[in-house]
Amino acid sequence: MKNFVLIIVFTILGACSAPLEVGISDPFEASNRQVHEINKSLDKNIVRPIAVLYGDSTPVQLQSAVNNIAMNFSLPSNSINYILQGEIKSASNSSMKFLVNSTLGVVGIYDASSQLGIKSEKTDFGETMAKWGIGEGPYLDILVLGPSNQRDGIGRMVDIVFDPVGLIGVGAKGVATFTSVAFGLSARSQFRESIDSILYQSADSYAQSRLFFLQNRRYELGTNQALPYIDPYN
Amino acid sequence: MTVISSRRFFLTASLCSVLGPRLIFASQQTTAVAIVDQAVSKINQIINSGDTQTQMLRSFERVFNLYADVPTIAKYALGRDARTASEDQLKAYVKAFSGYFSNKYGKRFREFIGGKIEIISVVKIKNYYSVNTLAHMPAYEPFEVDFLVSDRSGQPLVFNLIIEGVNMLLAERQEIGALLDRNSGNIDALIDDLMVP
Repeated sequence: MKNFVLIIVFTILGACSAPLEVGISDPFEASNRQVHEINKSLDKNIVRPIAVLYGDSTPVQLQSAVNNIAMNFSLPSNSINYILQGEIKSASNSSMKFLVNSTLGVVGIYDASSQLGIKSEKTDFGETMAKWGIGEGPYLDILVLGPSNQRDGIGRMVDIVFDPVGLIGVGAKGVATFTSVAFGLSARSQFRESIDSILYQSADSYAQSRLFFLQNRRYELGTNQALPYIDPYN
Repeated sequence: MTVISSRRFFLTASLCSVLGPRLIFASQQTTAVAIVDQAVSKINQIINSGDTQTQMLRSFERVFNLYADVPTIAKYALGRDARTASEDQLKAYVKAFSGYFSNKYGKRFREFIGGKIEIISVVKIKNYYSVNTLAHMPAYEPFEVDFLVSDRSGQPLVFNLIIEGVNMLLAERQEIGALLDRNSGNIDALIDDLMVP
């Protein structure tokens, strides 16, 4: 199974699997910048106004409950990705967390497992591919989804298409989708100052989003490109 | 990495610091943690004060002026152009940058409103210390915020922040570079742009 997926992935990525040495690879900058402008106008006209309305009119406890449900429904997918990464302990933690939070935590409203000391980091298929040795490839700004790179863009699509929550039932899938959209809106509202400062107040919002995404992602994945050493006193 | 688990760490560390130059490492490390501890407890007070945004931004500005090496951050952000600027220009630029910086990062810390920043560990990286913290917030997973501390300005000060892997110095060098490009390399025009809130 793992080999089969590997073959498909390597075929798709083809020549792009060489890891970056340093910095930023952005051969599609011109088209990426166009997508960035479209995404900005989507945010300005649709996402941000809805997010601000939702964030300001919904009590924090309710937002927190909805966010917890969304995080709970991401656990089955995390678990499968951990199996693909060969991280059996993390996979079993994710599964255990999902079982505990879905039952004791009432469909995930309460993060009951954390109180029991069950810890689980989030993961995704992009990280799975990174663990298999696939490099991030060129930077990509994807319509609606925003900043990404070739590997993680493909990863996101695989995660969406193969999300095991769909196997639980249409109802569960519906709740998972609804709460994850609400989670996104809640975050867009909570971090509006930071996001606005990148998108609308910076001199080059494209370059800033690209830098933020790449650094944050490399840090999350713990790659050797993360955390460059900078000494301003030299 | 040193995990800070109890007050015993501070006691041991300060005891070590009087035992001789061989243990100077422990002393510098304690100072780095102490500086961040002071800054963080002030930030925690601000984000739980219930103050208005304007009041909070003013309080953050005081914290940054006390604990951050803003002139060094400003000069790094300007990059190579710092060398071609006149002394007066550089002075005006650092002043303008300082206002821009407090406003921008004050707003960023304000987003941890109702939350709490907690020191987790400290690690020495070449010639500075990275004091690693977690910013806990009501409805979200905690954020990792690293405060990088150096005493090479003459006193221990924070010269960089790493928020979830995003390096503030790199982000500001790119932003100031883009602002300068927009002004065709004119530093005076850049200073004017930074003054606009």
